[in-house]
Amino acid sequence: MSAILGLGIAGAYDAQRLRACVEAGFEPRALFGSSAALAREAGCPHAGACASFEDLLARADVDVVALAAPHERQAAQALAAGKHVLCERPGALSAEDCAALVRAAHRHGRTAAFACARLRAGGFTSLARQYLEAGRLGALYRVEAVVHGRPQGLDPAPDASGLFEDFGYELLDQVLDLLGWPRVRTLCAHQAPEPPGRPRHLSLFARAGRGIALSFEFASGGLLRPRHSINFLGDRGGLLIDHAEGGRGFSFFEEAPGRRAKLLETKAVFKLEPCGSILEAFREHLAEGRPHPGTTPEQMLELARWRERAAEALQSDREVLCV
Amino acid sequence: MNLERPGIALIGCGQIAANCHLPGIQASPFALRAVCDAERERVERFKREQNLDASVAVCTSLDEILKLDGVQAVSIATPPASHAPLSIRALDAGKHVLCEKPSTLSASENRAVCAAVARNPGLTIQFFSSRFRDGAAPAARRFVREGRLGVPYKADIQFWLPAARTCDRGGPPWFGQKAHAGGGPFMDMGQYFLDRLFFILGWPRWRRLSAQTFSGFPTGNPPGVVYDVEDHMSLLAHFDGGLALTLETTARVNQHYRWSTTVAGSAGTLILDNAAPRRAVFRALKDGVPVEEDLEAPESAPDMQARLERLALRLKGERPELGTDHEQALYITEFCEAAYRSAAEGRELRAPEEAA
Repeated sequence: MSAILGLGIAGAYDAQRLRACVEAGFEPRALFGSSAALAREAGCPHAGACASFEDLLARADVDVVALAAPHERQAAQALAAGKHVLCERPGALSAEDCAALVRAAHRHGRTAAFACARLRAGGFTSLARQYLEAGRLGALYRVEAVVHGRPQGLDPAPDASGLFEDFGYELLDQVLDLLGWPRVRTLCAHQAPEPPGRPRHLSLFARAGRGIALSFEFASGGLLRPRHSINFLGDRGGLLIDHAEGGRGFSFFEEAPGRRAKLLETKAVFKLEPCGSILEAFREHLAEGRPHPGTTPEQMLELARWRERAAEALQSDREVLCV
Repeated sequence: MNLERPGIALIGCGQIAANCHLPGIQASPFALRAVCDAERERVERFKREQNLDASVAVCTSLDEILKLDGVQAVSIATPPASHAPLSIRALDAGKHVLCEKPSTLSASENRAVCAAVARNPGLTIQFFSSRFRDGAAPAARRFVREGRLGVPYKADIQFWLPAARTCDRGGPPWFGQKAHAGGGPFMDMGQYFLDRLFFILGWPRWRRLSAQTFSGFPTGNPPGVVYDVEDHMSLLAHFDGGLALTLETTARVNQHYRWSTTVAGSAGTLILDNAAPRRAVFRALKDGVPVEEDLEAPESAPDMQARLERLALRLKGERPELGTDHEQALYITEFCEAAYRSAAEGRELRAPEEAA
């Protein structure tokens, strides 16, 4: 495969996002859903508009298809046409859709990625991964992730119909990836009643594999103090990632004699990578064999299951058994 | 009965008796008539160390107290396993009761206490689960009642103590034993937080809850000393009216100290932090921008003294609000029991009326 990857874009992109594709090393060559004038504005003179999605797929110079909006049928079509697929925010993709995409990606030997992994790229997350992988926390028993207000660096999703679509997928992706995508045994959920003007607040509480109690709080528009923190508690140490402005940064606590937790270090190395880094990582994965930048179709399937189980728990007014 | 200087007996001569009950009694309208513990030597040492008046009787059982004249109330500061039997016997003997928390070890014991209250009209019982109701809690309750929060939809309790528990620091081992203490930090400190939250919100009814506990830190106890309470409790509970509660209680955690209660409503949020117990923060929109306002509570008497002052007014026929009453204590115990059961069974539990 050539180092320069031809990109076909389906859906409404703006000039800024097109430029990000170029900066990531892609060469936009075909557009469906955006005008050629936009491409010229973004400095992509070779990108021509297609009359249909099928026309876009027929282009031999298109190696990768970027989908601006989630579209299970288009993603499957693109994989079947031998294209790699990068899917922006996954919106309301169902677990069934995701499972079909997992199968399609395997069947056609192509790579699909979902752009839910933006929070994985932060320096704190990488640092946390080092501590977790080195076993410095011992046995994990509790992980708590709280976001009050949209996390820094994440734009509002224009089509966000719920908190999952807004920033929930990203937070789940960040935490579940650090934990190695544990299996979930039970999930219960609470959502604040939502008449007009009420804040949106979703609480999830799960019993995950390895005895971990796992909870997520997503709140937007409420009157809680802004927060974006993740706590990992283990029997040998604890980690706190605190992204909020004025927060504590990154802290590691180690079990110490006398049973008083000892704060070992705090590092302020947080830098949320911009969206472009996922595009770039995806290109490097395809062109240079670097690791998949995430989120994989299998992981997207797991995220979609979380969303569906949460919806089921809310609708049925009971805890959902997941195994 | 001497209504200006009613008599009280203190049962239990441990740390909480010395640090809380006795100073409160001494600052209150009540006269200390007796101190009591199962071991005479322990009571005599307590009396000596606390410089108690010679007239204070030394007792080794409730029976001995009941033989004394001029005792209108008993203050129970013993391990939780004895709370229910002592409370019931004292009520049946015509005494008002003040009792440490947790109120009992089980809801069935609480129901027996409720029955004792019912057959002894005119007597009162109050548990010290209400210790956090002082400070800013009344102001917070007023804000809720006035509708300043709008509709409360989310509450959060955080008690994280990155330190040794009493029993690890050479304190009594019963503190870490379920049979004697009823549970760990959730049963101990959690009761204060639950009581305060329910007090602020007007005792909302829980519908269902899901909980998980962790026990696994080494205790440092000598071999053979049982430590079988939880180190960490996490739960999500659903209440009537669309309210949810998330709760964490732990006295062994590799993390920062946390000691707070938050109540979010559709029109504002209340934040109570025990680092500043007389202050609550109210966060609401002003001209479209979130603004925080401090609710400062006036200086008040320490909990034990305040409770006794109110009990003294009760004896005179007035109706001041007392501490956690028998029905509230039953409700808290039912909630705690359900949380422990949910954690043990690894599934959600519904409140009895919901399940029915």
